[in-house]
Amino acid sequence: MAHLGSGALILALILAIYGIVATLFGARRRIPELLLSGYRATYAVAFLVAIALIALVVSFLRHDFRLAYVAGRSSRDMPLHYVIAAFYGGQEGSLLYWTLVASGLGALALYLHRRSDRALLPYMNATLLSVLTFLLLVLTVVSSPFRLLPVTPPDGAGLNPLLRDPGMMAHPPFLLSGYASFTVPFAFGMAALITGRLGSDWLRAIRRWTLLAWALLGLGLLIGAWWAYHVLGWGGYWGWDPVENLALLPWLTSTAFLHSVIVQERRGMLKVWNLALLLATFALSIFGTFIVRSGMLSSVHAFAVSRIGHWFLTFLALVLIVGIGLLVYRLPGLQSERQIESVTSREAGFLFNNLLFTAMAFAIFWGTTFPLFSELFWETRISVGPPFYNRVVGPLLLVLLLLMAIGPLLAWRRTDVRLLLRNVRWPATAGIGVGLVGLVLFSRPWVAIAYAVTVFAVGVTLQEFWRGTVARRRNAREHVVVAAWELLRRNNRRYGGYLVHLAILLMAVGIIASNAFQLERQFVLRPGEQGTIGPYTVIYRGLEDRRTADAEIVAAQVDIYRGQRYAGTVESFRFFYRNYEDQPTARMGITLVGMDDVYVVLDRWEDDGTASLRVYVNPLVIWIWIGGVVFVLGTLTLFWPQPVPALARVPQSIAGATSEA
Amino acid sequence: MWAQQFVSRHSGAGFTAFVWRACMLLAMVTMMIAVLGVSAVRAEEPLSPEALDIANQLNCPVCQGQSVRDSNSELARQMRQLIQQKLDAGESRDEILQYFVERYGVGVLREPPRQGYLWLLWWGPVAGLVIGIVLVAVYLRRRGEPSSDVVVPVELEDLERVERLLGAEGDAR
Repeated sequence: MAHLGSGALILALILAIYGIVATLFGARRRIPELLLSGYRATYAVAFLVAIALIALVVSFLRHDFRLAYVAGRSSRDMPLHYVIAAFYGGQEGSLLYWTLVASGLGALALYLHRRSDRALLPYMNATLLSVLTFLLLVLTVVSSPFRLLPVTPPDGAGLNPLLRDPGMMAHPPFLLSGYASFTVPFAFGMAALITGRLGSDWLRAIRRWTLLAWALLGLGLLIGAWWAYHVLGWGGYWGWDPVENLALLPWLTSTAFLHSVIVQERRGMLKVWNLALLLATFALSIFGTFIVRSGMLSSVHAFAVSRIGHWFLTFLALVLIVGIGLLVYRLPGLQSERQIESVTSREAGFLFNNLLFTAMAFAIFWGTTFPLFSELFWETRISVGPPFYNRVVGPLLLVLLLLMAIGPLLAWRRTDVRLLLRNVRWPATAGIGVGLVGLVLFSRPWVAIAYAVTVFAVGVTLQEFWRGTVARRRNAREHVVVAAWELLRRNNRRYGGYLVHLAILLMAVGIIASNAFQLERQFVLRPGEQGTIGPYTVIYRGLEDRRTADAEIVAAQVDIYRGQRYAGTVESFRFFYRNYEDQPTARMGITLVGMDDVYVVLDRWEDDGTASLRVYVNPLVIWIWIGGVVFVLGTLTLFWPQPVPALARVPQSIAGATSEA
Repeated sequence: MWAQQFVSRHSGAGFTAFVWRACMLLAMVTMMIAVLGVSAVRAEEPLSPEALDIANQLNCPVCQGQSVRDSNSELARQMRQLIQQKLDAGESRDEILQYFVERYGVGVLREPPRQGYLWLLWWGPVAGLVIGIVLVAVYLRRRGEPSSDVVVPVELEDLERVERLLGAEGDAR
């Protein structure tokens, strides 16, 4: 198996290099056979990488501890699902997975676009294969997952305990595939720059691919937040950890891209900017992958540290030099076809959206990398924690929410301000009402303002849905439900986008509340004793020792009462995995009471059962996860194949008018 | 140690009475220490909300990216206890933070102080935002002078048409 895997990788590397040469040569000399051969090389690379990955998984399943990677990450007593998941538990395997996603999606893109975007494909293929060549080079030369041990150990060391959690089964695969999928839009963007075909054909080619990568990355981040909430035990879901931040960056820039690309489609503006965003997104994906491996930043993800950092740094530099060089070279061809006519236009709205997203990304990048510079120039070790980000990103997020409310009401070219005011009057009234009530109820004005803005944005978004549905019901004489469904199905880009907006707003509800109203208490309790936190009483029942095949578990049982009413029992766990006894991990006891999460952390305990517990009350956090579900559903609607109703119903019309935001 | 002080304070009394009392006191004190000592060494004394808040402003020096409040390490536990003791002794939040900064360097703070070169950190995002706003403003201002741009768009459309024709041949430069 090991030889099959490493052989496949070496063959893939050779084919990738051949593919680059073949496509470039074939494109310049116009030899279709050679071009085709180059494309087939990509299919073959994807196939070989898949073989290598399967070989690795099979090695894990067979407990083949001759492989250093398998011996270091799994053991015989681990449950089957963690044995399978262990293949991305270290850097070699996760890089192999990265490569598989990039090559698989790249090959798929090549196949799907084989007829529609002929002129772009050679250079798209060459870019894709260049990225793959780099990854395969790292996988074969520096960090091969198929390296053999001189002596075969009887059993493996087991997976890092932090990874042994259901959340961790899903978080890394989604996040890594999100990173990797940005390779496809990047390859198309580079192809557009190289060929100089900077019209809108490349845009159509990449929008969906960017959307896919963006959705995967977003989902990866969400699952990561969920995992952190249930495992890390600081009562929160987003710790502004450097690695989290760096994963957020490409998501932010690609969100900006998905918005501003609409301006380019509709109005032919912002071409340079869009390509720059695309380039930045891919560079940040590489940066995010690289920084986890470099150990340059202190992070909870530090278990993945290795020596391949400088390989990634070199590659990153190469990507940036080539990308920016091409962008500057093509600058004259990227002039806008039109100009912005008014500040109160949808174009300008998207422009402000991009400003906020990039400012946010920049602020996070600045805070995350500043410790590096501090150590380099001032030889002082500093750390930039959550307070910095909350202070800097919070206001930007608030303005962004406000823009999210107004944006959908702005018209292309210019907006009639009187009409705009009339459109916002009900949502704005609701928002101001909530704000005033909030000012009276809450001691902190920012909370009231944040909720006012959120309610305003929700109001506008729902109003848009309602108006569209009413109009459709009137015109098509459909039932309200059917009309709403058809509205979403036929204008999925617009209304699917609003669904995603709603998802973000639902999350905002939870994020604001859990930041503003979190309660925290620490208790030292003997079994049977109780403590109170806010309206809740927690009664500590005692500890229970359990044992599984690979771990010893200590569980603290806590009954939760709201007032006098019993609200549930939670168990907060500590896990001591074999070989990792010094790194106990945890799973929090969380129960939902009304809209509050009561969150119990077991800190430490004594033999007589006395335990020190930390208890949090996190109001409305459930809305973050509900928002997450809506996010997934909204994103799925964006992938609906767009029917062409105009063509189907009125065959004589040639150009089906698209009605999209 | 304060048991000894306690004894010495009572040494003015008659000798037998003193020995008697001292023995009693010593026995009581040893018992108290024995009882208290067990929990003082092994369990964590309850932390006040203020202590938790201060602990949340400090990085655990031996772990990766976790605060003293959230870390399970022994050092973090000791630091939490120290914070509580210092609070009980009447020290202010700033004094406690200062104490840890002197020991572990400024990196122990989760929120870097606003001083010296660290102002760069705090003003960087603001500068970024301002530059962004200026760029957007410049971009928007250009719409105000359409007369100077009249020639350019026409040329560009031609250029594009030419490019499209060239592109159809799959030419690449």
